[in-house]
Order: sequence, then structure tokens, then C-alpha cells
Amino acid sequence: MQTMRSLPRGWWPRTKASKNTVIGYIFISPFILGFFFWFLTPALVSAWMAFQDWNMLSDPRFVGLGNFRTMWQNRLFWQSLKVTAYYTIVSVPLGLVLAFAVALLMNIKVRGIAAFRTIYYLPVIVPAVANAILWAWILNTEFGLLNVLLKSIGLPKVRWLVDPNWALPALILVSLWGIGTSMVIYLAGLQGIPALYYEAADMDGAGRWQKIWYITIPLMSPVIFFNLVMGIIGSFQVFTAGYLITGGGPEDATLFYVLYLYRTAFQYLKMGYGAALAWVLFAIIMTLVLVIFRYMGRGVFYEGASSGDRA
Amino acid sequence: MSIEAKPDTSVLPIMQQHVVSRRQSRFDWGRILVWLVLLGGALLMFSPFIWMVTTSLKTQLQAFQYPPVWLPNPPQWQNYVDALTIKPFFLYVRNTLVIVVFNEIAILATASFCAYGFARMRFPGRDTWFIIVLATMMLPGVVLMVPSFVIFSRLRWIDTYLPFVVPHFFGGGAFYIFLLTQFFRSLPEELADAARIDGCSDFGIYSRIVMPLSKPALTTVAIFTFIAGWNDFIGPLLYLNTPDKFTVALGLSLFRGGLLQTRWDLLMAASVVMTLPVIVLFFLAQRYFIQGIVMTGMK
Amino acid sequence: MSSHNLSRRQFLRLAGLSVTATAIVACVPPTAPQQQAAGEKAPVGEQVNISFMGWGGPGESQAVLDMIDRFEGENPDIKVSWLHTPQDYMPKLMSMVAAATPPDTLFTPQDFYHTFCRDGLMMDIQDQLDADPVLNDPNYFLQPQEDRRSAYNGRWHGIGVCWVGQHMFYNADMFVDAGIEPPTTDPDKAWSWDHFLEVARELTLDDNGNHPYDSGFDPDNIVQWGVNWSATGGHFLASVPYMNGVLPLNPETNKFQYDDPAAVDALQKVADLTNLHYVSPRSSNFNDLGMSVTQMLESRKVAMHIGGTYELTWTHLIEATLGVATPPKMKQTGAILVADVRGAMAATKHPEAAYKWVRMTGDPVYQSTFLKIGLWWPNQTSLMTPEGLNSWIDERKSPTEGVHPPGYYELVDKYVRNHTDSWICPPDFPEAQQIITSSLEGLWNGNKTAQEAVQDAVPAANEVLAKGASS
Repeated sequence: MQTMRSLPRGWWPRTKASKNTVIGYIFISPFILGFFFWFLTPALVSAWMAFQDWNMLSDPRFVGLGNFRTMWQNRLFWQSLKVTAYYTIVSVPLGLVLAFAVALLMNIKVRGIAAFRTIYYLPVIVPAVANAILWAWILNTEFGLLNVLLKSIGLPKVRWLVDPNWALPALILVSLWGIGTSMVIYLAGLQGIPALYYEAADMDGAGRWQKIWYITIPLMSPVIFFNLVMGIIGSFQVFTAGYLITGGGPEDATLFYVLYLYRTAFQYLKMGYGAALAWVLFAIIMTLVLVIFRYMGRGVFYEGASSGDRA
Repeated sequence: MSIEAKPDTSVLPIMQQHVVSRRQSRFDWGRILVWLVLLGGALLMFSPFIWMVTTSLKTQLQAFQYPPVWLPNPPQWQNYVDALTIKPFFLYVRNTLVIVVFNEIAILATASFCAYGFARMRFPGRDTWFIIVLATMMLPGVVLMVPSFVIFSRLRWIDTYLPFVVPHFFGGGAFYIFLLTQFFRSLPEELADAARIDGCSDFGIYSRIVMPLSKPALTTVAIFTFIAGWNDFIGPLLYLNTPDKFTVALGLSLFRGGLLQTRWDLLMAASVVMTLPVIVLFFLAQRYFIQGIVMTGMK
Repeated sequence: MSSHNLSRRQFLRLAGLSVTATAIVACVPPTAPQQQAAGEKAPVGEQVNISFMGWGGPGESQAVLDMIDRFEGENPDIKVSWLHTPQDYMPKLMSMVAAATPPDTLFTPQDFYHTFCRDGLMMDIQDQLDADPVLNDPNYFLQPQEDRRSAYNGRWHGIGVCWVGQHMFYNADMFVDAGIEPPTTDPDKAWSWDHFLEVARELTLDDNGNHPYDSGFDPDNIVQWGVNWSATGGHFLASVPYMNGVLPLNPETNKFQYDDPAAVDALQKVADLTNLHYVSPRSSNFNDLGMSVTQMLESRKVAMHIGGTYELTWTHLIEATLGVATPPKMKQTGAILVADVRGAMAATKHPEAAYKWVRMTGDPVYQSTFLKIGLWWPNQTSLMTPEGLNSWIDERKSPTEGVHPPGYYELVDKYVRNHTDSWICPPDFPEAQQIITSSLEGLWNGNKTAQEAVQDAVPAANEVLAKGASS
């Protein structure tokens, strides 16, 4: 990042660096404006709410750090954090790798590849409630398809959504059907790698795996990075599966953090406490992402990067 | 030094031939294996949709029969007629298209615009603002629901489409900005440098070089935007009161009535109809997923 | 670098902050709605528009629209707009309340109703009811259930819309084939628990035709269950202790009573059906979809089912002979009844029109529509007189016509009238209830005994209620 040596007075930028600044800010101005109008105000209100005891029906009451103290002592808070962290740690890498592998396959010019791509993306566009009902049925202990399959190959049936130890793995399994989004993004990224590089590697006698490791992955690193960061941000906020399929159970085994938040806000009507929960999650995600940027941002290879340009 | 800014497809057949002739002996096995693996996965991936379709052709009672009925007999085509006429679905489609078209324009234009600033320009505060972009995705939307509603209520935008169209004109959201930033960054800078030497302004580079080379990325954004707008449910639920203004996703939810009063047969039929345009769009968009640039003679 | 001129960045930041500050001031949530409402009532006699917010499937939604037509016909100066909100009801309602634009009238879920009353959200209609020539009759509604539900601190703030509760459904053909006397709709002849268990075991078979009392019985390969009893939540859960003579919640002490020994015993009995005696399939969300159980009845996977009133709407369509009965008794047979409340918001600008509309939703004609299709039980005694009952119960003669199986008349006349009580939901009920239902999941899964499941959960839940009553 270039440092500014002088900042001119008045509006007209005189140095190239400051001209760059003005133009740069013009480019990102839509976001900045939008940020102030649509995000910052509600966000600041919600931050204010975090210090209130407010059930939206009567007046808010200032409680200082009371909500945070409650959180610290609340068993469900820690439970939901544990559940969400476990979910993230397992499903994000799994999904990342699987989507990448599938995208590589999708990139091969096989007949009917367009149809395949569409099919792999299909689960993403099936309405959430239809998906939930289907999975609740597949994972049903007595009648579900999965247990029928297990039984037919001689394995004991698993109490998927009924046993607290199996419910979360079951939902992680369900999440794998949603790799379509990251797959499509990987695919777009794969298209951006010039065939020239592969051709050159072929000339040098490189095998398939070597090409993937030395060409594909490095050149895809911005996209991989994107999917990793988005994966983390997204899976920390997972909600629908818990809400529709398990209701957070059994025995809070799938009580995702945002589900707990939603319940707190709209069923227990504790909007202040809910806001506090939201900001704690924000802090956790932000810390994680900043750490990732710091340690992996350097490893991300941008073809267009020149010295002095950072992630 | 000549730069091919569009795909040099003339080179491709030669390259492929080259690849084929080298691998003739192992070629067929590899392809078949790939095909089988793809097929296996595709069957798994297809099953939710198949289930939707078969359930849509069942009676309400058959929907949860065990063992499951794979081919309902007789198929209840009437469900489709009912689903689309009980509520005015064609009106909902029209409403949704209006919203989606605005969103597409807004997001494709402003997200790419902002992304260019983050990806190709250097200015103080850029990285900080980029982190802020990401930060907007880290606060669970649940907690912003009520304050946002209050704001839109004060603006008198309730029962209009403005709350879910206007904000997209301001960058379209962190997801797309982040996505396009990553894609723009992976384009070689030599192109931009060359253009600048030729006297091109930043805006020119943005519009004449970066955008055309980003077809796969932009197509991705276009697809996602369409799907997001088409499936957006919570926004219309919160902000729309007049039934004539409802969107497709909201119309679908009208079949819900708690777990027990829901008309699953009609809901599935309507869902199938609702996903078809998205599928068609995705399928057609495939041809924009082509290789962006082929460089010949770049030193 | 210090410059005594503001750098552009600093200026932008300041501008942003001041815009935000103004915006915040403008957006600070308003004071409680009822304080604003005073002095803002519209003058009487003009065209009035009121809104009515609620949920429901397409059938119920259409019925509401029909009733609106009728109402507007009788009251040409009032227009009612129906805010159909099939999902995420609370977020939308809360948002509207926070923005000071609440609906005029609305459905209120029973478990939130008293919380809303406590916080002044619901309009007090006690005076209007007392002045109403029909509704001021203390026995117009089924008592004492209705008072328990609709009254807050002795004053009504809404009108209950109906009642629903549990009873037994069974496949009569299976009983005929097994040569077993089916259960009855007469609560005085309700089966003892032991007899019920005996019958259930008789009707449970594994894939080798073994019963649970046979030595070769394989619990992992059951093909037919004697009963399906899923008491994981809602009124099903509340009814379990009630059947052993204990109210799930004591309205005088405002405490859950699931830890009462009789309640614990009752819970254990029901859980043992699945985990010990293998006569009931494992409950899950899927089973609770209702329709799946209908299938199970029809395809003979289940002989008896403890289900809710509303299930009749589709269960009556099964291609088997459907029977209805009272549940078996422990100390008694019975059900805890539940249903939502229709009321007006205290902040409405049109209290008279709002009351008129709320009163309309208590109209017998509206209630009859849903009684006839098997969705509801009445909460109005006028629909429970012999004449009233016959107006909506058809006691069909064959499975292909009508809705109500034989015996239904007796079920409503005796069982519903005398052997039921209302769900009691004091302020902050949802949070308290969730603590208990989450913990009880361990019981239904066979991981905990009933005593273990209620031990810590009930006191924790009671603490929440105690806080809720005082705030």
C-alpha cells in the first residue's frame, strides 16, 4: 500500500497518487453510500439494543453489560457456540474440497456436461422447505431411506435425528448437497486459467496431478480463498437446516447459534439479548477472518499482483 | 506484442488433438470413469428434485406414504392446475421478474464497479474498506430485521418493492463485491498497463478490458442474483402487505399452514414450476462459461 | 502527518457519523404503543380501514376472506384488509410493532397471548363483552377453559377461536381382524393403562410375526406398532401429566408441575411405550407431520394413534375404517386444549371497528365451517347443545362419505366437555417451555429417565416464569 506523501488542499487533486485516491473512492462510492444508508444505521441501532433489556413490546431498559453477563452464564449460549464451531470445522473443509473436486470434473469436456452441471447445482435451487421435508424423511430412524440402505448391506440402523451424537453429523451430510454454489464459483475460476499453461506443462511432461497441484491450485487461489472465507462466514450463520429439520434438537445437539439467536429474539422476545448475541458472533467471525487474511492472504497468488499489492 | 482479448478458439482443436494423440491408449478408460463418477453423483444430486416432482403428482395423502410411491398412479396433473390458479401465480411471476430485472442491472453494474476499485486501484483506506465489506456479512441479518423495518417504515417504503431493490444499487451486497474482486484480481495486470500506456482511463480499462474478460464471473453473478431475487422470501414477507404485489417465493409460502395444514401436494407442484425458469436460465448460461483469454505470443 | 485541514477521509468519516447520528435519533424505537394511541382515535362514522394479521393454509385463508366479505356486507363503513402471513409471523409482527405500525387486529398464538397482555399490547375488551347481549352470558363459552385462556388478570383481551386437543384414532379393521374389542368414545369406559398396554402389545408385530412378549421378538425389525404416541411438545406433552391428575402448570403458583411425582410417572409411562415395550415407533419431526401417521394407519403400520383434533381433516380420507376414541386413562382420561386467540391491539386507531371485527371471528357460523371439516372443536356452548352438535357432526355411515366417524358426538359431548382443561401460558411461557421440551427429548430418546429429565429443567423453567410475572 502506497503511503501518501502529501495531501493537497482543495478539491482538485494535483498528484497522481491523490488522483488515484479520488478515482479509487469514486469506484467504491456506491458501496460506501450503501453502507451508511442501509447497513450502518440498523447495525448501530442493534449495537445500542445489545445494552438494553427490550422485548419490543414495552420500553427498553438500559442494562449495561447485563446481556453479556447473562450470555457468559447461559448454558445454551456455550452449547450453540460448540455446535456451530463443530459444524464449521467439519463442513467447511469438506465442502471446499468436494466442490473443488466436482468442479474439476465439471470442467472436462464430456458430452452432456452442461446437463451435469445443472444437476449438481439443482439442490441449491430446490426450495428450502421441500429439501427439509425430504431429508427429515430420508434420515427417519424407522422408515428413512438411509437406514433402509444401511440395513440392506447388513449395517445397524442409526438413530440419525434422534440421537444427539448423530444429529449434527447428519446435518453436515445434508450440507454437502449444497456444494453447488461453490462449485459454480470454482468453475468460473477454472475458466479463467489460460490453456496455455496446461499446454506448456504437457510439453514438459507433467502428469494430471502435477498439473493440478502446480498450475490449477495456485492460479485458483483467489477463488479458493473466496470460498474459504465465505464458507466460514456462512457456516457460522447456518440456520435453515436446524430450524426446519431438527428444531435445534435432539437435546440442543443441533442448536445452531443463529437459531438460538432467532428464538431468543422472536420467541422469547428478548431482542436486547439477541442483539448482544449477534455482536458476539460478529466479533468471533471477524477475528477468524482477519487471522485468515493475515496468515493466508500472503499465500494467495494473484496473477495480476505486482509488488506492493497485498491481498 | 499482440494481445488476444477474446478467446482464440482456433487454437483449441489443435491443442485437443495434441492431447488426444498423446493419450490414445489410456483415453477411453479415463473418460468412462469420469462419466461414471459424474453420473453417480448426479443421481444423488438429482434426488431432491425428483422427490419434489413425484410428490407434486401425488394426492395429499400419498405424499408421505411408506414405502414411498415413486410413480404415483394416477399422476395428479390437476395439482399443477390448482397450484397455479388458487393463487395468481402468473401475477407473482410478473412481479418477481420486475424486481429481478432491476436487481440484475443494479448488481452487475455497481458490484463490478466497486470490485474494480478494490481489485485494481490502490488508494489509502482501500484494505480497511474491504474489510468493512466483509464485515457487513458477519452480522446475522436476524438482528437487523427490526431496525431495517423501522427505517423503511419511516421512509414510507412499506408495501412497495423499494426495500428490496434500492439497496442493491449500492454495490449489491458484499458477496458479489468480494467475488468479483477476487476474479478481477486474477486477471493479468499487463493488459491494463498496456491500455494505460495507450491513454486509457481507469473507467475505460474497467469497461473495455476487465468486464469483457470476466464473462464467467459476471455470468455467475447474474445467475446468483436471479436465484436470490427469485427465491427471496423474507424480504417480501416483511415488507409486502397487498396480495397483488406478492412475489413467487411469497406466493409459494401461502400453501404453508404450519406443519399440519400445509398442502404439500400443491406446494411441491408450485415449487417445481418455480424452479423451472431457474434451471433453464442456468442451463442456457453455460455457454458463457468459456475460457476467458488465450494468450498467444505474450512475452 | 498532521494537517490542520481535514483530510478527505476524515471529512467523509465525520459526515458519515453525523448522518448516522441523525438517523439513529430518528430511529430510536418508540415508547410503548399504548402511550401513543391515546388521543389519536379516529372520529366515528367515517369509512374505517382495519387490518387483520394472521397465518393459516390456503383453506383457512379463504375462509377468512369469506368472513370478511360477510362482515363488510353487514358493516358497510368498515373495510378489513387481510395480512396473510403464513410464516415468520413473529418477526413481521414484532417489526410492525417496533415501527409503531401494528395491525389493528390479529391472531395471537396462545403461548404468547399473556405475554402480550402483560406488556399492554392487547386491547382490553372486557367492558364490550359485558355489554354484549350474547357474549356476556358466563356460559356462552366452554368453561372454565375459556377463562383460563382469554382472561388476563380477570379481564378478557381477546376471544379464543376454537379448541383442539388430543384423542385417539384407530384402524377399526385391524381390531376386527385381530378379534379385539376396540376402544370407545365414552370417557367413563376409557381403558385402563394396563389394558391399553396389553392391547398395544397384542397389535405389535416384528417381521417374523412375534409380539413383544414373545421370546424371539426383534425390536429392530418391527413392521406393525400397536400405537403411535408422540408427546414431545405442545398440547400432547401438556396432556400427559393431566391424565395422571396433575395440571402441567399450576395457575395459582405460576409453576410447572412436571416434576410432581404423578407427572413424572405419567411421562415415564408414555416414554416406556417406545423404549421399554416397543409398542410405539420412535417419535420424530417426521411422525409429527401428521399426514405420515395417517399413512401409517391406512397401511396398517400402526393400529392406534394419539393425535390432535385437526388431523381428522385428512385422516377421514383413509381407505380403511377409521375409528375415534378417548385416550386410555392413567388416573383419568383427558386432554389439554389449545388454540389461538383473536384480539385487537391496544394501539389501534379504530377500537370500535376492531372490536366488532374481533367479535365476528367468534361467530358460530365461522366456527362451524371448520368444525364441519374436522379441523376444530367448538369453544362455544351453543355449538355443543344437542342441536348444536348435530349441526356440524355428521356421524358418517361409511368411510367414503362425510367426515366424523361414529362416536364423535359422544366424544365431543362427554369427553371434550368434561374431561379437558386449557393450556395455561403465563408471560414468558415460550422460553420456559423450551427448556422443558429440550430436556425431555432425552426421555423420549431413551437416554434419560423421566425423573432425570425434569430434575433440573423444571426449576430452571420456573425461574423464567417467575421473572416473567414480575417484569
